[in-house]
Amino acid sequence: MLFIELAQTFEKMEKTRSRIELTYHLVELFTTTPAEIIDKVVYLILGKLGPDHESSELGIADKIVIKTLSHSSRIPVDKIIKEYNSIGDLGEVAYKFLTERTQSTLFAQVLTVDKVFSTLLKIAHTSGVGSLDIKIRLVNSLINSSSRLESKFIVKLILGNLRLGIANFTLLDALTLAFTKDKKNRVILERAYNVSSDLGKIAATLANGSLSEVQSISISLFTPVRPMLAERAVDSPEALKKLDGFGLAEFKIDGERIQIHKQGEKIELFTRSLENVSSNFPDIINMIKLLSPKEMIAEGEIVAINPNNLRYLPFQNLMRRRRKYKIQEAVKAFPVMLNLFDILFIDGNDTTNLPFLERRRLLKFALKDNRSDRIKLIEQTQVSCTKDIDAFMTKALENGCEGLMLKNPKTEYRAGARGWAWIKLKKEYSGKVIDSMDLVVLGALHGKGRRVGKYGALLLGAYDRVNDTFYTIGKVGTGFTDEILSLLSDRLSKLVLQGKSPRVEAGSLMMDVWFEPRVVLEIISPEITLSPIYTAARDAVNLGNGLALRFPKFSGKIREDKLPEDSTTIDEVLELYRNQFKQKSN
Amino acid sequence: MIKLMFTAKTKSPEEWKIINSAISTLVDEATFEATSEGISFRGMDPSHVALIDIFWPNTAFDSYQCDSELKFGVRISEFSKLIKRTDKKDELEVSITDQDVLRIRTSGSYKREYKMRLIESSSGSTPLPKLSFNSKLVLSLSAFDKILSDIEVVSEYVEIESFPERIEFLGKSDTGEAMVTMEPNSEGLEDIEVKEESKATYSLDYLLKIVKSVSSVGVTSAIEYSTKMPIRLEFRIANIGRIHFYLAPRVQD
Repeated sequence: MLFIELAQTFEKMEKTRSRIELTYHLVELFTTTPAEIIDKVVYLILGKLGPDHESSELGIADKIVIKTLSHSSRIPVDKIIKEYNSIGDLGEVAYKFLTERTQSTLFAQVLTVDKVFSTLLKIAHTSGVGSLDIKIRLVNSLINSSSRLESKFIVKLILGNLRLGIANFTLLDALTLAFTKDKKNRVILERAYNVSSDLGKIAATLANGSLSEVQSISISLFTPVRPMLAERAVDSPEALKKLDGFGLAEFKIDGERIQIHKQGEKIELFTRSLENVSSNFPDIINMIKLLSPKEMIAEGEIVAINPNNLRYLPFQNLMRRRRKYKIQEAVKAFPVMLNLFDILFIDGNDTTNLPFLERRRLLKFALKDNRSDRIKLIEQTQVSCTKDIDAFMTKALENGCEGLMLKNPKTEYRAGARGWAWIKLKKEYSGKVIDSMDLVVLGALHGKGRRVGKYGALLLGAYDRVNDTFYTIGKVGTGFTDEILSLLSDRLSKLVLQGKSPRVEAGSLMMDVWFEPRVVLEIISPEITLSPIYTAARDAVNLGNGLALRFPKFSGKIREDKLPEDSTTIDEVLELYRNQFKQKSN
Repeated sequence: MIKLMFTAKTKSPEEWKIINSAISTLVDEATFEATSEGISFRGMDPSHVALIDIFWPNTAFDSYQCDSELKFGVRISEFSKLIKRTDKKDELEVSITDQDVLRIRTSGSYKREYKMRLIESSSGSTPLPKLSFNSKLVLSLSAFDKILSDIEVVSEYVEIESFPERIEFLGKSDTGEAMVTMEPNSEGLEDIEVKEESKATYSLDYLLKIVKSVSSVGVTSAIEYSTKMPIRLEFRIANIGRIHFYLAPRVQD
């Protein structure tokens, strides 16, 4: 398959704002893609070179691409930089300037998808002394042999800013339609995705094999499983009702959820957004090595602690471990503890189909030889009345936790699914909900006064999984320190889109800039009100009105560990809205 | 059982130094081919803009033995590091006795032995561009180096234009221009042969890197090209034979 065919589809996709049309383009693309490269095509559509947990950085800076473009177009560097500053996207700059070649080659080469993919992979994997030169040559080789349209997308892929607005769920839809012609089979693909986290693998299995082979994709070591998710209960009576009167309550620790994969001495750690963070926690890895199971996939919460009394410290302390350099210093300065709460695989056996109570027993068994005080089973107790729950909640809060997780002892582990088998319960204050929500930044207004040059108010959105769409719920402008505001502006500026993402429903609201939905912030709001401006749960409570946050405030926590799809859902917001009246009438 | 596959001895490590430094201007992973005739290398840089073609005949070695044709892949950066450890006066023996190790032995002030793991050799063979040249000039390497460096002061490219009795090297940029003229009586010009007046532009980055890589031993370089066609440089080097360097032109407005 020629790369130009893919580039042409990308061009069509970039021009559409409709999800249905995007799906249609994808289906068309998949039906014409040869089976042996479909996994690569899937990764490229997502702007990646592999599944999330393996995806490698290319390590190419803007200025290298600028130099290459200058070389290839013979347009001076400063002119390219000027254009870049005004357009904000080097791919578009390439399209504009590479009208004709200025460096010829000894042999003309036609770019295939395979060639582009393998060259990008080579760029990513080249390291060590002199690697920058080799990377530059490889970038040159792609740019020198591509047309302007191909260059546009190659540059975007190299810089990691190909943004077609295609989410994993849209891809699952398209794969289902392209290969099975029946929308109902989507659940099968989704299950395979939840245990393998690898859309490329699913596409290849479909194209080369059959649906039943997709059905048999199972949990495996060093491939992170998409985590099981919890619904949110507003109070202990609701939680107890959903649990049918009996459950297992656990501390909900203010740390980071980690999935541990172990095979002998080989250990890898993944966050809930499937990022490999093994290098950040050498101390945890050394302790896991000593555990008795040869093979294990387990889940736990890593939390920063005070080493003198082992008390939990807030999330911010843990985030200081997430660095690239001076890891050993960070290990000493910010000690952590691992609280295990689930086990998905042990010594060759997939345990996800076992009831939770049984998995907890296996987890305890897996820890039997543990001598370290930095690894333990998470605090757990049985609850069968609201008094039990409330008492355990008090204990959790005294221990510096966020609240409780309440779990149905009978249910299996449902990868990637959110349901009432697991329930999160957060703290309440004197009958009034001051609950935190994790919301996605969708757009911004330019800052004024002290914030000139940065973003001012940020537009927030909640997620609706059924439509795979983000709906607006309010703007936030308070709670930002200067330091965090600079950091956020920096991150967001890399996500700027030419227009609104097709996955965002904002009604007629106008913003100065729109972003790729990516950054998740923790937001505190004392009240949720009806609003004709925002689109969250529009018409659900009152015709013509959506829900909006009243006096929203940023808590200071950027949820680096959360994917936008893991943010607070529209259903949860509705639940919180309705609960306000319940609280008042109490 | 050890089967001796390939051994090549040189009186000094200099030849390998030159070969490595020339190849390293284009690629890091290099596949050499050894036959009973000698060692050859042909490789193109990833952007397909330049190509190096080396033939090092068996007669150029102090002793040479190759039982059967073989290909071996080396990482030039690794190879160079080892060769750099040797002394100028050391005799050098490079050999392959088992499938994936290159052995480097020196004898001189003392005996030294390195073993280097070979890398996977490339399967395909690089073709040579089919070219005919209308202009040819032979320059001493030091003169060529100087001319290119003169132009580099103002430009990243050099335009070479040939006339029956003279060759002009021209560089242009926003800030200014540079021109060097070589005529039959100019120092360093050894030969000039123009069948048809020719004009083409080439990247100085590539030209300077290759010229500097061989300038310590190379004596002359033959430069051949045609209008808007690739250029070929030929370096004749004692105890190596010839190195050919091809470079595609810049496209001019």
